[in-house]
Amino acid sequence: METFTLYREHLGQFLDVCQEQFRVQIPVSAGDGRYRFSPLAGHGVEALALEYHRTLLPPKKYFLLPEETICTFDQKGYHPVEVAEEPFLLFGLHPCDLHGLRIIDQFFSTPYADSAYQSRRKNALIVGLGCLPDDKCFCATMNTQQIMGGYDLFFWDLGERFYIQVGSEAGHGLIHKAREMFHDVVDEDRQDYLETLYQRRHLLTPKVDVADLSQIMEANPDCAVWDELGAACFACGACTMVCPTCTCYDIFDRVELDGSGRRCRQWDSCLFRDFDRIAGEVHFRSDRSDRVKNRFFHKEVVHVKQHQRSACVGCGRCQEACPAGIDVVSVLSRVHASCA
Amino acid sequence: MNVLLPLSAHMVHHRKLAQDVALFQLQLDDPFAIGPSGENHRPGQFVMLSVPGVGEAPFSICHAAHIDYLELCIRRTGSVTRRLFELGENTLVGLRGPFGNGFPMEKMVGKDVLLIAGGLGLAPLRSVLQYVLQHRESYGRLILVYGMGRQAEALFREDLEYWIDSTKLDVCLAVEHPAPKDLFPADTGHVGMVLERLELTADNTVAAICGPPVMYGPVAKILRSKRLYPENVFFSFERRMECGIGHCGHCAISCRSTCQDGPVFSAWEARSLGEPLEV
Ligand SMILES: Cc1cc2nc3c(=O)[nH]c(=O)nc-3n(C[C@H](O)[C@H](O)[C@H](O)COP(=O)(O)OP(=O)(O)OC[C@H]3O[C@@H](n4cnc5c(N)ncnc54)[C@H](O)[C@@H]3O)c2cc1C
Ligand code: SF4
Ligand code: SF4
Ligand code: FES
Repeated sequence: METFTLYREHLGQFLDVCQEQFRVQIPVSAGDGRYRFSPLAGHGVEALALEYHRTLLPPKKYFLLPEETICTFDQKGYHPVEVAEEPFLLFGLHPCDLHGLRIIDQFFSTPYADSAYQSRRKNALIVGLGCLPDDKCFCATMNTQQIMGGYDLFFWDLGERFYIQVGSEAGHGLIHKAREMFHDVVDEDRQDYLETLYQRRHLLTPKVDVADLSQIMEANPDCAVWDELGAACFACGACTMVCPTCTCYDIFDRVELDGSGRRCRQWDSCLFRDFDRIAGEVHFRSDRSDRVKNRFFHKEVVHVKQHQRSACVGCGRCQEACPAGIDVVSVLSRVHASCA
Repeated sequence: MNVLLPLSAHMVHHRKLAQDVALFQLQLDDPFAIGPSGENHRPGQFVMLSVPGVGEAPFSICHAAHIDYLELCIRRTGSVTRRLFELGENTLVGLRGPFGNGFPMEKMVGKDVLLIAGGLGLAPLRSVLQYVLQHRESYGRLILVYGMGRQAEALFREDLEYWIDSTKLDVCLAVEHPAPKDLFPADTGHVGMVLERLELTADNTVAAICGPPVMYGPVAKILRSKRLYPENVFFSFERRMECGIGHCGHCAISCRSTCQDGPVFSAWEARSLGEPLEV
């Protein structure tokens, strides 16, 4: 693994160099202790929130846009639209978001490639950033505190300097453009990096026992938890919008007066009542409890069977967004307790 | 290639089959385009049909692959279908597909084929029926059980006449409300009653079923009592579909996408997905 260090005071300069080639996106404060990914160009490097825990919306917003045009139509037929994207760079993704991105990368490549998603994805460089957990993080429960690739560069904040891992040729290309700012790693850097890892590891302890979780959920599908959640949930869909691995979308037409128009897609939520409605006003999950349960089953049972891992990366966004205060950790621990 | 982009196509002809049901003939504008041409699908597959400005909806292809246009049998029910019925001939539409697994014709080779249709469910099963007739020597007996409320609702009347007269298959109609002027010989009641009295070779019969969801439970129960193997009984499922490619999430049943892994599931698969079927 190729590694470098960069002094803190050079970070701004480095990002400026990146901006010559990429639209750089960074985490910035959104007030009230909240954060969002936003263009560096509109904020300046002073706005970079290196201490952030989670952004309101996950990085998926750059690849599966909240709303986008699939194609246009007029009297002559349906016409493709160009996904004309300049290359961009996402700075500061935490390990849980790298896992989330990997999950949806895989999702949007099978059984067909989603061409819009994939072309944006190919255009993006990813820079990871090491982190320490807050009270809502539960990556250590979902085993997503581990960094398993999926980045071009990864930054560890060691105080007056960053310890940087290069994960790809494109990542090396970035360093190369500003080579004079970067220093080779010496023993002291390595020691500090290992010390940081050590401290982080001790803050990252599992919050719930998830052993046998999917087996317990399957064996106990009528667990009282689902009815209780159904009664509490407002079916607002916020949890799915903010989730880095929720990918459902809706397709619809927007029409102009002359009959031409655009076919669009928009984020959708399996918590919405009409999500599965078919002709004849038939629903398959008309109870809210069925829909909440379906969301948890999809993350913790279905995805485990299909991909040998949970689809929840433990980012804590849904808890922060939920007006009913529903949080995954306590749901999972109550489900798990049904088998105590 | 963008799989969500419809291919431009034209509705070349439509004719009424019954009250609020019509047969639509469609043709892709580009004869070389890779898309639902009417010649390249498996029985039981479906297409996504777009009406510009209104939207898109899934419809089963109602014939076996052999003609150079596409035929869909469509009921008027909501926004897309209502607009479709208003369109004149030679108007622009969009097509994507064909999608879905279709019925497993290979698994039926050498076996008796029992088709159980309720109402509009005849549309996808007509493609299976035509396929079996095209490859008649590869299959055993062919039986169609077709249920409807009234005979006035019978779809594909010319076909029915021909099938009833033909020695290549047996046709049993189940009509809930008979009327004095009814054309076709039929039992009074629902498909279940007809099924009860059918003599089937349990270990050599494959069943394909499509109809309203209320039909599936009772039919599964009868076929089980007749000792058909649950892995030889195939249901076509209807779910809300938006993308057809396994991504939008609308059609998910437990861990499967109805649009990609289905719409046809064996009775065993369907039950393991949580459908209330006895197998
Ligand atoms: C694999 C598959 C194959 C199919 N094959 C066929 C076939 O061969 N032939 C066929 O006719 N059909 C078939 N269908 C069913 C067909 O897809 C539906 O009838 C079609 O989607 C209806 O589309 P629509 O836009 O006309 O109705 P929609 O506008 O979607 O409306 C459907 C119903 O819901 C009501 N409704 C509309 N909007 C709302 C709303 N916002 N909230 C509440 N209620 C609303 C309408 O009044 C209507 O009764 C198939 C379905 C599947 C999944
Ligand atoms: S379910 Fe909640 S905690 Fe898990 S990945 Fe989605 S938003 Fe994050
Ligand atoms: S955010 Fe909370 S209230 Fe809203 S749909 Fe999700 S679980 Fe229900
Ligand atoms: S229709 Fe979109 S996933 Fe099946």
